[in-house]
This record gives sequence, structure tokens and C-alpha cells, in this order.
Amino acid sequence: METTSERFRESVAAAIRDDELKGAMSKLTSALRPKRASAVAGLPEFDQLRDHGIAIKMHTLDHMDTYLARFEDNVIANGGHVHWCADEASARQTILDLCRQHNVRTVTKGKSMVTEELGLNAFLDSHGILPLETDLGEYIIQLRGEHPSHIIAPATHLQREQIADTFRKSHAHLDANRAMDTAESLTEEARQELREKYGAADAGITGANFMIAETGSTIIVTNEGNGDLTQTLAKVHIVVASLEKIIPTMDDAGVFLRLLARSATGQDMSVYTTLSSGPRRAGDLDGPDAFHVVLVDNGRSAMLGGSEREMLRCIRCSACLNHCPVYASIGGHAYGWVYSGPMGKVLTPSLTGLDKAKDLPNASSFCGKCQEVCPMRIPLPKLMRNLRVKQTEMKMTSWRQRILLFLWSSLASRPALYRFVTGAMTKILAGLAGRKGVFRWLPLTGGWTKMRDLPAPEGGGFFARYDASRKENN
Amino acid sequence: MTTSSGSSQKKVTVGLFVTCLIDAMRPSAGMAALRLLETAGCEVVVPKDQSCCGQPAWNSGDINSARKAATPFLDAFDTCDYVVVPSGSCAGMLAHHLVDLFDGSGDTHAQKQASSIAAKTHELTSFLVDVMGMKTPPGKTGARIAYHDSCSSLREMQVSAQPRALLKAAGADVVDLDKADTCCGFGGTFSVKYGDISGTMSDDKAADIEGKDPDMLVAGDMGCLMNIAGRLSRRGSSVEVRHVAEVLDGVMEAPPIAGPRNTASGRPEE
Amino acid sequence: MAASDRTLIFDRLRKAGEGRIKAPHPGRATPPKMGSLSGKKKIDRFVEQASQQYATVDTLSSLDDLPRYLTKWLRRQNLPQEVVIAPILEHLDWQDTKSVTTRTGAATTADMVGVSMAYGAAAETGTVMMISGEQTPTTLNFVPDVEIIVLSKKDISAGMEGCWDQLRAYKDKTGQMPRAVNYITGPSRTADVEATMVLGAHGPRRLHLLLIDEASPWRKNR
Repeated sequence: METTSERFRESVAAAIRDDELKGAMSKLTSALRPKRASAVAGLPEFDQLRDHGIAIKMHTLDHMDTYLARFEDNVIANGGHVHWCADEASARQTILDLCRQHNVRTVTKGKSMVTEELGLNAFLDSHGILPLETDLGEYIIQLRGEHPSHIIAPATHLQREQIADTFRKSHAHLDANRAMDTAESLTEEARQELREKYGAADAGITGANFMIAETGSTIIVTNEGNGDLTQTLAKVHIVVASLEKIIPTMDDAGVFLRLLARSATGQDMSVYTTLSSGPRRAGDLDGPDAFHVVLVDNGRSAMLGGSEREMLRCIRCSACLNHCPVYASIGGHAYGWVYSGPMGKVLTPSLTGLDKAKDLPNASSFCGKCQEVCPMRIPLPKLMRNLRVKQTEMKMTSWRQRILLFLWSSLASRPALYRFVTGAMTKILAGLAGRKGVFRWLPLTGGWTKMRDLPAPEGGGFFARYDASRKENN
Repeated sequence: MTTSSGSSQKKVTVGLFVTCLIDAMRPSAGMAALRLLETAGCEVVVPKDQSCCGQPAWNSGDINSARKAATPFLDAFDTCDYVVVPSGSCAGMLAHHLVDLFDGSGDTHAQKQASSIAAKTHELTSFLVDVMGMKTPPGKTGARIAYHDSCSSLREMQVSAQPRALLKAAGADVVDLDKADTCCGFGGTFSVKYGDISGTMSDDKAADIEGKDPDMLVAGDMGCLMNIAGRLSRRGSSVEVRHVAEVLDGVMEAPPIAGPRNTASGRPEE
Repeated sequence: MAASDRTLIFDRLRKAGEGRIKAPHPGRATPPKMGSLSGKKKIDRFVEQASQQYATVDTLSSLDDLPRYLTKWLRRQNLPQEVVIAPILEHLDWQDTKSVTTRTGAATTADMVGVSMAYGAAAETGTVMMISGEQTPTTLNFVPDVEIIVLSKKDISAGMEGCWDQLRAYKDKTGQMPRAVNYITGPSRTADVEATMVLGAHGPRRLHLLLIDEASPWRKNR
């Protein structure tokens, strides 16, 4: 998928003026934050499970080759196929080849962020293969020609009226006077529209929340059941998964499953958790005839050997998005790519290149809420700071910042001079502010003063007062 | 005026690090911190060779500038028993990041100093309560106070119960914000570099505050205070904004942050 | 092409691990207390959790009673007296019902009601475990509007650990995992519209669980 992260500032400016987006974000956060808190409070062993899950991930990241090889052997033993793709172009081509091999014309899709990464829908479409999203949120944004704005709730940036509007335009064959004013009526409408499409599809493409080496199984976790309809009713099931989804055993999956739904939506368990282990067996009455797993690297192995390694622990729960005050202010599209919120601030530059996403690691106040709620305790602020360090080293930062920091540190490293300069400057500013006590504007502070007054300094610096009080006491 | 158990044992020496923001913007809060520590029974030194903890450059990814800025600090605070800071974010920098900052500098002496400083750094209110055992502060107030936890205080320094306990002991009616643990949007240079996002976050915080109808907004971090006061002022709010050290100390001669200059004392009604 | 991609990826993975001290696997996690119940407490937990997740739960005096129970239940629910059933339930006396017509096999979108049998369950979360196969086609779990699942209390594990063990035993016995294992907790739902929960997304709108005391037909063959 093309990135628009370079237009971050413009996107943010637009997002902040967007009242509908604001309303939608407010609904998201006010629903999901208390739900997560309540689910976590309801499981006394939550922190121990986190520790255990982190240990599983760190071990797995140290043995990726072993576990991926074991996974492959087991998929093949189950009658399935594994395809290795070093980059996104290879992945797209592989999937296209599979479709051609199986005479696939129509595809149903379960929600998969990695397929968004690949820009798969547009690619297949350009080759005459029609992909149909079935997850309700993905279905909605596909109709609108938009990209997902959240990794598990793709249409979260939309309010109900906007969705109704989209359905009105796209489902023109339905009665114009039908009820469309509730979430229930819109969900029902999507259900009916998609019902027959599952069986009519030649291939079902899903992602994988996890891949289990022990059994050669891929796991999807959903609430809607669309991922299961997608993979069961089509003739071919294609799973697209990035490398770091691999975990050693089924019991390991159990640890992550206890963490995932709680962190995401506050459920103890999602409605459907499905292990898929190959094509239909002899005697099965349903299921796909062929099972293909497309394994995608696309930058993960590079992260494995680098300073962003800890990011590979991510289980894509979205807790960081749901709790981030920056995400809540600007929504997901402003980040310009598939992965938004705090995890996107690290993952997007890591995968698309820091030069294409210069603002992302910087647009954070480092409040640390993301790290606090992350089930894998990923040190997101530290990882963002690492990227800022890289930017400094690669001279990607603005000359203004470099000069200001140089001046500041030169001054701060000479305390006597520092006291003199700051003492004098604050006195001047205090004088300028006069009675008001604030500045409405000052040079270099436009970013601040657009929405806030700038308090005036008391003037003179601390040591002037301290020395004076010492003299008094003596 | 209360002093802690006046025995013949040697007094605890505290190195007070006032922080660059208090030094530049509100020295009176620094003086309040000094008086509080003396009241609690500490011998307070204020090393002259202090300026900045290096955090602005550290967070911006400019390690060299951060090291340069923080180097005088290492010698200045070498000998005191404790380093006490009226700021959760600067305390957090010293306690949790100073060691990383000098890691890889190749200077083993500096690394040792950084380690020792990290181990003895405390935020002001948590130091008063947890280390010096202060139960009742010298200041008295009957004000309705909304207390704002800075993110660093909350998440890096585990400070949240202590300032509230002291404020309550001073007589304040302390109220919590609805979104108490949501960032106010300061974030250091973030507040200027991404001013529209930061401003939006500060507006959410200001609305939360005004919804509680407090007399005062109090916090332990000057950055948050400037940010919140700046937005409240732009909104025409009458909520007074002060540093927690001022309220606990009780003198409060300075007008509130972003408040007009000619008002007498600015002290809230008893 | 793909073969060289594989080599390239393994090379990269190997290089990334060079010189690192490798972390050990932490072993099997201890299940939380809520996943370690036994006896009556375990069964009660299952019923309580499943109900909280919007499944309805009832008991059958015995599996043989299913056809008669269904006749009454379908009538009370105003549902058509036609069901598609899993082969594992075919042997029951369906003629006895006189009014319910059954078809055995996979479900189609024309089927309103489907009836199947769980292979296992996790009391911790009120979750049933369904496996694909000759006896229990997967489509019964997802296609019909109403899904009825019979579950033997003897097959309820305290938590998913017991379910994983069951699957390992299945794999050892038959040589392969089932093609699909579906863990199901309540009827389908979504919250994609304004974060408002709606029951009945693409999967079944309704999940009705029937508990029996006796061992399931599977158990007799295990």
C-alpha cells in the first residue's frame, strides 16, 4: 500500500478540524478503554501471563528459523503448501500465481493487515480478480475506497450516518425507504449482502493472528465469523502471514489468546478462534480443497537484527491505539499507512523507511500510556526515541532543531553563563509581558501560541532569588 | 512549623535541582520547594553548577547535545545524600535515563556518577512523604483543588498518592479529573513541534478541568502547568494554576501561572 | 523465485541471530484460577460464562431425548421444524419426532437451524470446541442462523489446556490434526459501527447449548 506519511502535517491539520472524526474517536475510546480496564482487573494473573507471553516471544524471535521450518514441515504433512516471499512484490506475485493456478476469479477476504501492506486488493483487481472484503468494517471502507484507520476496527473513523450513506449509494437495489438508522439495521444489511458471496467465491484469503509450529496451523481470531465463512466455503484457502506470527506450541497460543481479546476489546475470549491445518481430509463434508500459506518477510528479518527487534513481539491487539491521546486526536488515516497509533509510529518507519515517515516517531509526547497497556510491554517510547536518534545521526532533523539544541546544550554545559543569559532574558520577557502575565505570541512559538497563551516568566532566574534570600537570612 | 524527629543524628543532605523550567519561569516555586525540604528537616544545598538534566535533547534523539548539557550535573550533585526535584519528568530523566545517556560515552567515571545519581533521585512530594515521613505540610488551604498527574510522575516515578495526601492534610478538597491519567499534551518540544495536536490535547484537559469547577489546578511539573495554564488562559478560565510546592509551602506570594500580575498575593480564600 | 526467497529469508534469520545469547522457552504457563476449576464449580463456570456471552444453555436428560426436545424448542422459538444435523447425531431416533425433518451433512445458506456436537469445551470462558470431520462438518457452526450444539459435561475442560491435550490425542490417534478446530464463545457479533455491539454479524445469530451428562458418542470411540 502506498504511504502518505509524508503528508502527516497536512493530514493532521485536516483531522483536527474534522468534527465527525472527533465524535467517532470519542465513541471508540470511551467504549474500549473501560472495557479493557475491566477485563484486565477481572484476571488477577494478567501480569504473570504478560511476562510468560513476553518470554515465549523472546525465545521464539531467537529461534525463528527453527520454528518456521517446523511449521512448514507440518503444513506439508497436513496436505498444505507453504510459499516464502522475501518482499511485497514477491508476495503479490505469489498470490496472483496461486489464483491463476486455481482459476480464481472472485475472492472473499477476512481482515488482514498484512494484505493491506501488500496493497493486495488493488493488485488483484488490476489483474482481473475481484476481491471482496467480508469483515464489516473492511467491507464498509472497501465500498468507500478508503484504507483502514485502525488495525482491528477498520471503519472506526466513521459515524453511523456516514456508513448509512455509503450503503445507500452502494446497495442501490434495496428499498430506498428501508430502516438504516441503527447499528443493528446496518449490520443486518451487510449480512444479507454478503451471505451468498462466500459460497460463490473461488478463493478465500485470510490473515493469521498466530501460526503454530507444533501442528502447522494458522489461527484467526474474529467476532463476526466472516473469516470462517471465507475459508470454509471457498475452494481454496490462502493464508497470508508475516514471519513474526510464528509461535512454538498450542499451549503458547493459549497464553496469547488470554491476553489478546482482553487487551483489544475487553472480551475474555473472542467469539471465534479457529485453527486451520490444511485442506479438507478424506471424508470431510466441507472445507477447501487446497490450503496455501504465503509467508511474508517484507522487512521483518531486518528488524530482527536491529534496534526495533522488540516491536516484533506485537500481537496486533490495538490497545496502544485505543489509549493513545494523539491517536484519539487525529485518527488513524493521518499516519499515512496501514499501521497507525503508537505501534504504527515504530512499525511504519521500520517497514517503509524512516525517510518516508519522518514525522511519525516525533509526533508523540512520550506519555507512556501505550507501553503501560501493551500486553507485550513493548517499550514504544524508547523505540520511538531510538528512531529519533537514527534521524539525528542521519541528519534528517531540521536545521532549526539542530541549531537550537546545539545552542541550548552549549549554554547548559556552562552553568555560570547559563545563569547569566537566562537571568537576563527572563527579566526582559517578564518586563515585556507587563501586567498581563502572558504572551499571546512570541517569535518561534507559533506552534504553541496558536491555541495557548504563553505564561510570562517571573524574571531573573532562581539563583537571583536564592542568593538574595541567603543575604537576608544572614 | 513542624520538623521531623529532631534527634542528634546527622541531617539528611539534599541536593535541590530546581530544573530549567522552574529556574526560567517560576523561581518562587523553587524557593517553595527549598523551604519545604528545610521544614522536613533536610539540610538543603543548591549546587550552582546546575542547569539542565539533558531531557530535551535526549528525547529529541540528540545524544551528544544531551550529554553535553547534563555533564555539569554529574559533578554538581556528586556528594549529597539525595537529589530532589520538583518535577516528575526531570526526576524521571535522572532516575531512569541518565545511565542510558552516558552508556556508550566511553567515560566510566561519568557512568558511575550517573548510576549513583539515578539511585538517589526523588521527585519532591514523594520524597517528603516516603522518605522524610511528612504528614502535614506547612501550607493551609480550603480550596477545591483539581490535581493533575504528569505522565512521568505517574508512570516513571510512581507519584500520585503522595501529593494528594499532603494537599488533603493542608485542608484542600482534592478532586480527580475524569481523564486523570490522560496526557495534557506538553511532551517537551512536542508542544511546539506538533502544536496543533498538543493544543488539542491541552484543550481536552482544560475542558475536563473546567468540568470539575475547581478553584485551582495543581501539578508537580512546570511543563504541564505552563501548557494547561496557557490553554485555560486562552479559554478565559478563572481556574488558578499553581505548582504543588507553592500550595504545600503556603506562602504563595506569586500570582498564579499565566495569571495577571497586579493582583494581591493570589492566595485562595481560606 | 520462491525457492530462492526461502533461502534468502533463512539466511537473513540466521544472520540476525548470530552472536546472540538465545532465550529459553519458559515452559507451559500455569493456568489462571478461573481456568483451573473442577467438579461442579467447573460446570457452573461454563454455564455462567457461556450465558454471559449471549449463548442460551439448557440440559437434556439424555442424548436420546434430543429429537423430542428439538420439536418442542423449535416450536417455542417460532423456528421452522427443519434442521440440518451433523452425522454424529444421525443415529438418534428422528422418526419419533413426527414433525421435525432433518437432513444430514454440511449446511447451506438455505438452512435456518443447524445441530452439531462439541468435541470439547473450556469452562474458563464458556467456550465450546468444534472439530471438522466426517462426524461434524464445519459449516454447521457458521452458516445457519441458529446453531444448536450438544455438549457432554464429561468433555468440559477447566481451560483451554485440556482442549489442546485433546487435540494432541486426536492427532496421535488419527495421524493428523482436524482440518479446522473452531473455538466458539456465543453467537456472532460485531462492534464495527460506532463501537456499538450488535449480535448476529455474519455467523449465527443465536447459539443454543445443550448439556448432557453421559459421554458423547466420540468418547465411546476414543
